[in-house]
Amino acid sequence: MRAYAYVCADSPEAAVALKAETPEAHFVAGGKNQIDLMKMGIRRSPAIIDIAKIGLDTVEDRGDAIRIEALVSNTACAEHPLIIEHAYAVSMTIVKGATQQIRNMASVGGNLLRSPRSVCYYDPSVHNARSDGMHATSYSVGGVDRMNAILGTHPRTTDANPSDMAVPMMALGAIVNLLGPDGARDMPMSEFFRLAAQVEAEGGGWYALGPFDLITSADLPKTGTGWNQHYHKVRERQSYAFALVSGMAAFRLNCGRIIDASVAASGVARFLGAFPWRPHSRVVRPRRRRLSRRLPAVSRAHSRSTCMLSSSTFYRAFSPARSLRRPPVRATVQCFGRSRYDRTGRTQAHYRLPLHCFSLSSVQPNHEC
Amino acid sequence: MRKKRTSKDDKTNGLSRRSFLRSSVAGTAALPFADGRVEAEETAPERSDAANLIDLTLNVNGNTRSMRVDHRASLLGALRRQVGLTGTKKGCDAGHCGACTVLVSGKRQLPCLTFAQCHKSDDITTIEGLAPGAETPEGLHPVQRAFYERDGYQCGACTPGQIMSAVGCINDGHIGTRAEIREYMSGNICRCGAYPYITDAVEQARDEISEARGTSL
Repeated sequence: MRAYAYVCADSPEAAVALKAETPEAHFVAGGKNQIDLMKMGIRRSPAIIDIAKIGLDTVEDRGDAIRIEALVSNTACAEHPLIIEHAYAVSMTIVKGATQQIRNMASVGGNLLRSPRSVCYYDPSVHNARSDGMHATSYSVGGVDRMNAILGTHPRTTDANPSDMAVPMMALGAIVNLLGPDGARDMPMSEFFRLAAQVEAEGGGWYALGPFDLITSADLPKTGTGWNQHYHKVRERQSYAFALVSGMAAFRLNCGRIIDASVAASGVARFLGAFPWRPHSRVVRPRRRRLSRRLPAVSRAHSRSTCMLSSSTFYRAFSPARSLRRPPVRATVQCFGRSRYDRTGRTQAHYRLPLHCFSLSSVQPNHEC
Repeated sequence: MRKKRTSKDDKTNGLSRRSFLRSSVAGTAALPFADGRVEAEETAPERSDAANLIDLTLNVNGNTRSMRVDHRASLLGALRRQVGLTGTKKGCDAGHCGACTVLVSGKRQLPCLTFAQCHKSDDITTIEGLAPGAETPEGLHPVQRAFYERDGYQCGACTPGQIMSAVGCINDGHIGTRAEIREYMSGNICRCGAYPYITDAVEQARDEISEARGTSL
């Protein structure tokens, strides 16, 4: 590891000011991703700004949204009563990611900037055109690797976003709050993550972050009554592995009909691929057979939904107009996954194998009507 | 209970394995078997420039320890080399195996993925701090004793990490069922595959600790 300068910031404003003084410095909060990359010589930080003690570690109720500050540890976020009540999928995804030791260290803000897991990203001899380790502009190209992206790839990158926690945040329409030298600003998470084509055309990094910006918090809209949420993660072992592919679906039910839905996927593209899926209520026709069972509580409703394997395509979730002509009570969201046994040598972008999918069958109405 | 070698037995030999290792680390230049890997690992800070050395004070197991350490040192490196607490094991050094798990301000963390200088104000508990000065199995921390009694290890390389992780797991309360224990202990890899016995040990320790506290965990 190269020698670096170390400074400890005591407030968010001080951290941003320090970053403005030394633009090539990196923020370190939990540190695990950053230090791992520094140890491997992939990220060569001349300076690090320790932001672990700047505060920003509470989860608060802001009426119609829950504000999760950037330095809340993943454990604290997953176990917070507000998150469990209003955004159970966020809690669920965090618990499905990494291990308790790592979750105790990892911060919410750092998790949004999770570096890709592809082999070529972690191999300095393969990693192409690395621009001095700035996470924002790293590229890795090619290689047959199960951690590569399969959707939204670009001639210059096959990196995929491996984050779990960002998936429900994306699906639920979270807002990211940033602090820069010019003050605070916010943006929807769908703008925060940029597409490969966008990066190529407009320049800049993978995140819509200015060079001196610090993520201060994420606002998660409260999902009201009638929402069912489920996150499904396919990985190589039962615990402590990155997703080969994962998907999140949220459905809002009213009298047994889906009136609102949103899906997002991870592990398939650098962009998380969230596409809100909002049908007009007029189009929704009453089902012939009403579902009679009602669930008592909204936030726990997902636990009654079952996961099962079936075959279909992820594209259906990506093309809203077509799928919503017949609004399903039994909704199926499927993902393309990568085959770890792929020996064909073809790039994953051209070899799409319907490996896993998930289905929210038996989603129940839980809204008094 | 099977007869096991205790620290008392070690002492009767005059020179215990642990004190031998510690003394050889202190005098690496005179190490008779200058194995490349050991040497590279243990002498790296001595080779670093004086400009890279910083003065650091850590609070380890309730004691304040001052040291002069390379600013790039991980917390794991500082604990093992500078503080001399080699009970915390270096496994993968990349956050995969959990062998180095320690408690930082009561929460289990991986010292291999954090810089020592980031922890000036934290309370660090290592395996040595669980039951300092214990001479017999009865004097051990309930989790240590449970591992001992339930054979929760084979080669022992992962055991300090497993025990610290189990202490954190019991403190957090994620120990309701065997499945929950396995899930929340999944950050600690045991290459000998002693998982069933580790789970037994965590269950036993949970019962013992909850009995002592008079509450169910």
